[in-house]
Amino acid sequence: MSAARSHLAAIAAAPRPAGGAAEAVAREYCSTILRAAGFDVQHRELEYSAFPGKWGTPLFGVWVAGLMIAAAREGAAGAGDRALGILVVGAVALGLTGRWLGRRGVLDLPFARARTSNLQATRGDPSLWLVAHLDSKSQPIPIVVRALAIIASLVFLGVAMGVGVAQLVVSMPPFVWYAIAAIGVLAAFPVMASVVGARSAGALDNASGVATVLRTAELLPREIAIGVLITGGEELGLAGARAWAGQRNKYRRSGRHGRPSPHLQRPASERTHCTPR
Amino acid sequence: MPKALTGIFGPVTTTFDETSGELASGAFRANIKAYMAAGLSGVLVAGSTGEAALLDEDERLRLTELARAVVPDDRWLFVGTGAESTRDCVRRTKDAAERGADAVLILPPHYYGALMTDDALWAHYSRVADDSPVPVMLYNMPKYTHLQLGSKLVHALAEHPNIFGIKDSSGDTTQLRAYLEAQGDRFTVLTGHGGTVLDAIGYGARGAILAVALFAAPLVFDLMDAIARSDGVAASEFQARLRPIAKEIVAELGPPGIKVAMDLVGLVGGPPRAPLRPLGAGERERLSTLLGSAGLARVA
Repeated sequence: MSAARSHLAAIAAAPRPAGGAAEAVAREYCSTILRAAGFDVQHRELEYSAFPGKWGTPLFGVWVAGLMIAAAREGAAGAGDRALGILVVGAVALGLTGRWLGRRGVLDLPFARARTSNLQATRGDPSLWLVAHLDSKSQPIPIVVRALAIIASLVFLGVAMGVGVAQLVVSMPPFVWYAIAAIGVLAAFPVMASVVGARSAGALDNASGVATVLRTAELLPREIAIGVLITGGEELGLAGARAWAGQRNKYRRSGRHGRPSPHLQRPASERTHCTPR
Repeated sequence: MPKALTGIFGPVTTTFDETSGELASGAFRANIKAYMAAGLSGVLVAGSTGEAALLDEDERLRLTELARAVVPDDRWLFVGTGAESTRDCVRRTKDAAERGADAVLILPPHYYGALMTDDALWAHYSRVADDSPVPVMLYNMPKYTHLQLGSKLVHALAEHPNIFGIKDSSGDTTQLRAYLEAQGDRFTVLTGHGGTVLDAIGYGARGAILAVALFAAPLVFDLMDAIARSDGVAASEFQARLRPIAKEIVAELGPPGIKVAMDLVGLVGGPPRAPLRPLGAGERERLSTLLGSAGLARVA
């Protein structure tokens, strides 16, 4: 068995939900390989909220379906202005909430708190980083179906707004609203069902990426300074990457020049252990 | 009902009298009672940590009898009965079984190095297992034997009705995963390497025979609990605390270091047997610091 394939088999030996023992086992494996390749390895704990990553997509579907139903009730009753108002306010609220959840909520939401770790390994003083995420997830809805459903939901939201605008100037038969609402809700069903599970060993997503990073780190000449970042919690809102990048951005904003030293790169929400080699 | 072959097992040290160098029976029993009270699933007598290579034949028998008297019937008593000749190994195995061993752990013969081919080892283990009154566990310990039990050999031996498992102390999780492919209802893989317990259990090993559990059992149980509740962050942290003491005390200092660590946590370690040397003052200080760093009580 080739080394890369051996890495893949070791990492994808079991499903690796964020924060679980299997993720920790795979991280231990990565640590062993990287230490043997001459890297200084640190495990950095981080805390985050699993809520956006786990429930964000289903709640998006529920919200869109709810908006369509509420708007259709008003529109079918002849109140196109109220239907349009519901749709516009609801869409803006959806956009702002999604934006905040994406930017801050994953790390800052005070409930559904969870823990995982990033693995940061350095050989020399790196300006090049190899990055891959370690955790895996399963999902009942294939990604293509989910993506199409999200696009369809947004399209029908737009169509409904168009109907609302049209109703401001012309009369609109109720069945138009009922039809749009029915199709919109149907389109949102796959989105509502997109709850993150833990049944996949994630050989492709992303044991293959981690194995590639490990093998590359092993094969690159030792005189080349590189860093390896294996993040956790990616499948629950990019938690590990957000914690790591957030701290680096904080460093840059501080106006310091040159390359940050390792201790300055440590996110406040991370705690380092596992340093012995 | 048969005992489950899971959990943490202690490869107990052999206690010697400070002045005479003879077996210190009282201390040996007291240590095992403490391990039973701590919740270990069983003990291994006359293993590598028990300085088996330095014991007389009658001492091995006496240790087995002493242990059987304090290990309850619902826990495991393993006895190390490996020998260079198949004939000696069979004799030691039968002697251990007569004195109450539940199973035997058998180090491969290794003096003749390259002559110990898979065929030779298959014949050795098969013959011992044929003649043994108790189940046989294979033992992969390349650090001391300078040979690795190949996975093909282990898979073939796993078919024997009286070979029921392997203890792998190599710390090579790729090798361990290859052994795990033979694990089933009749064959169990245990790890014997404190630096990779999280990996080994995570990949499917059913338990561990750990020298580090002789002086850090609470930490090992914390790690096992974290794995059982799938708390990966806690498991990583406990493994990170375990790794340096497993490496520096167990792997590097060996039985003399393990015995000092036992003394420091309130058990009876005592002196090693020559030619093993007691630790020097610097090593003792380093060991004490390591235990403190791992959060283990220091009873200096």
